[in-house]
Amino acid sequence: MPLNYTMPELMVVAASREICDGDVVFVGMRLPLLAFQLAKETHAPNAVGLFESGVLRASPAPAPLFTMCDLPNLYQAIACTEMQDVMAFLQAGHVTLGFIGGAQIDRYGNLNTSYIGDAANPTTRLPGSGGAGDIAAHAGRLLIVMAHQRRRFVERVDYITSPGFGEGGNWRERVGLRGGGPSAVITTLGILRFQEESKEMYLVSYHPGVTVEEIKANTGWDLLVADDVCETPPPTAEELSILRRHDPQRFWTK
Amino acid sequence: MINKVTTLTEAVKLVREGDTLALGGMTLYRRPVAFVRELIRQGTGDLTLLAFTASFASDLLVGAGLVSRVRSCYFGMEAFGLAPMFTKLATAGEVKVIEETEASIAFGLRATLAGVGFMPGQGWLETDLLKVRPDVRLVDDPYSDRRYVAFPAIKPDVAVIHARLADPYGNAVLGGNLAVDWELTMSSDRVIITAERVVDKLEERADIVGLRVTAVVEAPGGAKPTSCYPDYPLDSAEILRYVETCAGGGFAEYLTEFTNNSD
Repeated sequence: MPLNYTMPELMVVAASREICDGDVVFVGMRLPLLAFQLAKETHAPNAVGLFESGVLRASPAPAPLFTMCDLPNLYQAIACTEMQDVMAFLQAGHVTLGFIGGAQIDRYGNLNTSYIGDAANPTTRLPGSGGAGDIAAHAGRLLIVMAHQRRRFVERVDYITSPGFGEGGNWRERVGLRGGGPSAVITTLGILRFQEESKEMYLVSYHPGVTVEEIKANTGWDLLVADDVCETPPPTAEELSILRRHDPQRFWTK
Repeated sequence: MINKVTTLTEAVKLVREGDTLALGGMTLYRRPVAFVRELIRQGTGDLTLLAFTASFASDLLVGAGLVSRVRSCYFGMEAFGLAPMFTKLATAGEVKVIEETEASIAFGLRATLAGVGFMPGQGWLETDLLKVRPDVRLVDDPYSDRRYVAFPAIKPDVAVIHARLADPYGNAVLGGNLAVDWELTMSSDRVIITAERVVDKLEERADIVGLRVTAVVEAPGGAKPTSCYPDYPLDSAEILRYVETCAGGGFAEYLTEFTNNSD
């Protein structure tokens, strides 16, 4: 019998599967908080999480988290360092995976979380970089979690807060960005990755109930699609049960 | 050592019009909310607000019209959405934003701590930050062919840090989520510690040393509705109520209620 689950649950599960055992993860805020918890309790027991509050933790938090600074995230943390120390991990190249979100993204994974419209006279002022620009520059792999809408998946972002692959190809090497750049984009409709050579984004899977056509229609450029594009593997019963323990009120996953 | 204990009313007078005011803690954690309440009552304005990650308390100050410039890398409510008054006023251009990232704030403060004018870093390259911050320059590495961003030194006039515990001399225990509080106390001209409790003698080692502290104020519950580990959690219902009240155009009423609250 197929399991019942929500789209945010599917996204969190997909995000958690991107965390490898032993990864040093710059977790940040929102859905990745939950993805890290889930990965720790399933396939990545040796992953370590870093938070810009200075917290380093190697065990799942014992109670649900809404923000990275919530009390359970400090309980039995390895250490409560400073933001400087967490930045040192990042800039010295010791963070293997970083999570960020975005209001806008382009085909090379460049992200905007700062301004909609012209920065000098914006339509909307967004919260800003936080650590996103720093994470995008330095993390070994970058994992992007965001809503999939045509106004967000755009030909050209209004402002580059966090560099992806720039103009594509070996751009990151050319300009001297040390981190590896985006590795996957997990959206409300599917999962996308980046081509080996061109670094252009392509669709690898569509979530159950979503069609490739629908995803293309919600993307502001002619989206490449993998030859073997398939349905996103659904959550397992174990994953769902762990996830729901960490989000009993369904704050994140309604 | 000097006894620095004073009242909130007196401590707020250490902030002057036009100051760069740094708020300790981060986002919705250990923010000096009681201090902000008294600051709004006294109405000290034209502030440059330095907040590593700005949220509820900063949004109240912005909405109250006391902030001319925001220097921050993030201004939002984390899980609870956009910061309503900042979004409104910054979009309208009524508040100027000095864009930062986490690393540039860390480096700018570090430069002040090193007594130098800038600290080089690898961030910001190939982003649009350099376009909105034309004051920030690049420097050549004298030892290689690499170029870095020269993050300018950041020097606040006043820093306000909420602590779990403090002694009368300003030594303070923060209890985790340290963010940039140490750097703020080391780089600011005046430092105010508000604490859940002021005790004669700390049993734990201090996170903040009193040498740099100007005033100490006992303010139990002084971070509420933000959290203060391990004494109380984030009051997420209150944060949601704030966001929803503002969405319905009720900021002024919320502010009146907030400043009348005796906590």
